[in-house]
Amino acid sequence: MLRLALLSARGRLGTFAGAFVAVFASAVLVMAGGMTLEAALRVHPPVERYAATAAVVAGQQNVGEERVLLGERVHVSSALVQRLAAVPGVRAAIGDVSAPVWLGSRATVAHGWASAALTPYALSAGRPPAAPGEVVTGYPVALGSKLRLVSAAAPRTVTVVGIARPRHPVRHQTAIFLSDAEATQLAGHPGSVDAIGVLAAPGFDASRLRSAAGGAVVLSGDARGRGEFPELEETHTKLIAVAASFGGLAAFIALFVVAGTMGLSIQQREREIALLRAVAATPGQIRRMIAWEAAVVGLVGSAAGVWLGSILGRELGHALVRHGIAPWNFSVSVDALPIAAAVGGGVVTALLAVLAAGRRAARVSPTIALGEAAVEPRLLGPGRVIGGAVALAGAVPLFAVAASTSAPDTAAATSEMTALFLIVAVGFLGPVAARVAAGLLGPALSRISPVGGFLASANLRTATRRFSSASTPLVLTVAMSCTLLFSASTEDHAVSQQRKAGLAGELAIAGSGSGLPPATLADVRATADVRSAVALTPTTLGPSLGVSDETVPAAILDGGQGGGLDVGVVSGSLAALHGDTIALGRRRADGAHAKVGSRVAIMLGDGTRAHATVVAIYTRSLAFGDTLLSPELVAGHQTSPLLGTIMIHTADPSAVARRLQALSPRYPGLRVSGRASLASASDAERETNRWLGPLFVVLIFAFSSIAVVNTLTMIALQRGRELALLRLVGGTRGQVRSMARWEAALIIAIGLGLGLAIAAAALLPLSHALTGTLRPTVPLDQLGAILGVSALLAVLALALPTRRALRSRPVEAIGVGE
Amino acid sequence: MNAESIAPSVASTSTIPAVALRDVRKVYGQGEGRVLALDGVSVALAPGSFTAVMGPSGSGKSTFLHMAAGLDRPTSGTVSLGDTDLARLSERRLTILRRERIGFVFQAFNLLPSLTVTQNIGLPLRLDRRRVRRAQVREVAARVGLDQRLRHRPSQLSGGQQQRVAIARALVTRPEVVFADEPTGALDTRTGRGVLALLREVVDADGHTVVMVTHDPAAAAHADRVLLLADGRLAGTLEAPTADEVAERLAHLGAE
Repeated sequence: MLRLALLSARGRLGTFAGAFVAVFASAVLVMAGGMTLEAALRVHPPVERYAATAAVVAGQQNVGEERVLLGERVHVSSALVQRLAAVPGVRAAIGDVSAPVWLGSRATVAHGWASAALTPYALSAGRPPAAPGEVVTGYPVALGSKLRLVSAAAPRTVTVVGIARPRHPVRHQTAIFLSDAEATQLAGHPGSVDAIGVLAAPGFDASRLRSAAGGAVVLSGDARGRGEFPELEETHTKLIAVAASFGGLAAFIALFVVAGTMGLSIQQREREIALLRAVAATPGQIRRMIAWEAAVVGLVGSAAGVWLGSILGRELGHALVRHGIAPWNFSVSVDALPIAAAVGGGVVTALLAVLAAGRRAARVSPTIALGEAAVEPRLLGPGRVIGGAVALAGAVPLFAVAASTSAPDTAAATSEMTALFLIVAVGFLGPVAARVAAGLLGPALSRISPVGGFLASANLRTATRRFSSASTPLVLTVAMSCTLLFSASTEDHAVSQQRKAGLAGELAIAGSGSGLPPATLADVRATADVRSAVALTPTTLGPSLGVSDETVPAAILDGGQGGGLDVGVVSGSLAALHGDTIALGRRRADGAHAKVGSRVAIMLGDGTRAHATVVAIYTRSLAFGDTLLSPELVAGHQTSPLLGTIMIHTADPSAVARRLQALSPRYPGLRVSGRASLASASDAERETNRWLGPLFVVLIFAFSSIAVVNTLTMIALQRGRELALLRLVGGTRGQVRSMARWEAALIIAIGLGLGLAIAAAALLPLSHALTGTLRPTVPLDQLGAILGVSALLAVLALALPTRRALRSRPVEAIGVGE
Repeated sequence: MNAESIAPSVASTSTIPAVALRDVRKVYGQGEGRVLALDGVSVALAPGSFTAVMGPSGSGKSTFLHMAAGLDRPTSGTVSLGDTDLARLSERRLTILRRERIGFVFQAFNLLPSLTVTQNIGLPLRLDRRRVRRAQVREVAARVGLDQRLRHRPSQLSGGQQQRVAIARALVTRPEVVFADEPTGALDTRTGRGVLALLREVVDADGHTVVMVTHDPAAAAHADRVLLLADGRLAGTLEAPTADEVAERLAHLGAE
């Protein structure tokens, strides 16, 4: 059977080339997506400053049944240090605190000198810090220099008393060491530490440590990095989500393209299969033959795709790092698992697709086999009905959720899934769409073009499967591109609209790097002609306020009302945002059933449970988060006590800007900007949407256009005989070409029409949830590019083979001669 | 009997022949693969006649049909339809001439699967941008006995019915000549006889000119005249033939 399969393959290179290309392209995509996902799951934060430890004991960052990752560092009690030190096999347990500071003009992180042993850092000159005001730097500085130390606490001048060098490479941070007492004071959470490093003595046993650690987490080996860089955990979680959605999308497109192309290749060979049946091949033999073919094509095609996929995967990895979506130590490498997924997936999908398509052909009795091959099968086989029904059954409830929810996240997630299910449904039920289109467009078409249009619509009515196969890849391309791109642009637009409307202050101050010292706000307020100023610092709350499966976006608002900040308060007032109070976005307030004056239970960013009184309800939560928190409520529960952005309201912006600029020597990294630039600068945070969305779209486009060209070429090549016949009965080349053009127009109209309809089904609910209107933001140039390029691809893919078919003499093409 | 002796006998008819081939040669391929398919054939066919072309495989009968119908061009010699010299026409003009003045019936019916019986019959008119009048199509369909199946598609018809549709399609433009290539080749004997009787009838009753290639002596017996081809040359003619005569002459040709 393998021999027969190979012989048969040799004779039909055109069809096989199409199947090969589809498998190849899919393997490239699956390989790249699989590598990225695998690397994302594997990547650990590096171990640098804790290199000398046997274990790191840190707070439990995941809370609740859903293991939600908290956004702020969970501290551990200082008392635990003593308990751990007493565990047998522990040489020392050292509590570590970190305070973001500027030493001179350099941004760095301050720790207590005791924690130098965790790396270890060893003095290369001078002596340890013994009293407040003394510092040892982890990088070269002139011994004895007096430098200004700016931190969350009051600015001070310190003296460099020693220089330390790490014995283990520390590449991604710099460190300075103060006396332990001073470091604890700067960090701002006395009584607790960020993490405890444990140095081992002979007889060290991590399990003993675990029983002593209580609720804290004992990290050893590579996992220690999680204690050192907890902020990377969040990046990591996001990265896994990004990689998973890319991988999932890649797998979906691959499955779709391979299944479609392989199915089509069998459909086109039904005459040949029928012939084999007529010469007494058993159905089993036929099945084995096409299975062998598919296996060979699947294996060779996907094996070839793995190599290109590995290159694409590496590039994708670099790009993710470059855009800050992946942590800096993220690297993608070739591994067995993605290769197995790409090759195995390719072969299995190809096999299933041809067996499903060949089942009917292999079963029919030989006598009617030849008769049946020439005509199209019935509109929908049972497989298509079942598949289409399942896909629709998936799409309908998702659409219902998307249409009824007012939560943007839910709407975004469900609308995208709606689109995927609808695309699959179109794949199965496409022939019905073709028949309906024929009914709607046929009469008009015959009137406009009595020959070409008439013939094209007659073909559309009967060759429904051919038209469905041809337009499905277009549906996929248009629907996916539009959904991905325009859901991002709709969201972007909604956020930036709110931001623009909400940032009514004339000036803004941002810090470089980790933020602004809290003292900056007081200095700004004290500046002449500043009417009011507030500081807005992004953070998150743990799952609470009616949310159970994720953190709640929040901002700390320092200074109540003022600074020209207008978050759209509809009841209460931000002026009361002091002490244990909170302001809620309207949607979150509804979710938590809270009104102004209600006492709500919240979980702070580090997992601490607290209660707060609602003082205001506001509308612009897309731009400013679901909740606004008073600084007193969250004090001591944040990883970094620094401020985010200061918004300033003034009548004389230019003079005030000059005066504020004069503050910069005292606060290194301080930047003064006008309102507009602040708004656009904040938009840059949406890098994921901005860069990743279009990247996905480009990849989808590249691969689904391969499917478009592939499918259409396969179909057009198959029609030589029909075109020749038309010319035999007196059709001129021009008339045949006109028919082909009208068919192309129909394929494109169906493909783009259904694609846009699916995109609309996904985008309208999202737009409604985000903005309350049914007007998604659709940049017309992008829409034009998507539709134009898809249509152009289809035109070219259909025109070239038709031209070729018309070149030969009809008698030869139809095989009338002897 | 040779080609020269035939030409004058045909030329003696006073009217212009429906189809005339003069010294037509057709060479396929080059060098080693060179095949001389027709080697100087001259023949004229009178309007309103039914001619069968016969000969063993490879004798050039299909090539003869392609030349006569303007589907292919001779290497040398001339072919004319009525008073039109086909050699002078461009590919486009030739297509239009085929559409307007020639009808075709093929062995493998060659109907467009996506069109109904009515639409298939009306197709040549439509391609010619003439109005497809229902009455006209219905009349032709009635002529071939298919007026009850106008809305069917080819896949819903038997082989004989499909061939009748093909004949109706060939007749609908009222062509000067209908060419049929093994029209009964794919049909059983009884159905085939019905198709032949229909062709005979359109000659006798409607005055059409029919040229039919066949290898079946019984089919050829329906014609007024049989042209016998062998090795690309005209090897003889039979007027008002019977099946037995034809079979005998064919056997004779085969033995040569």
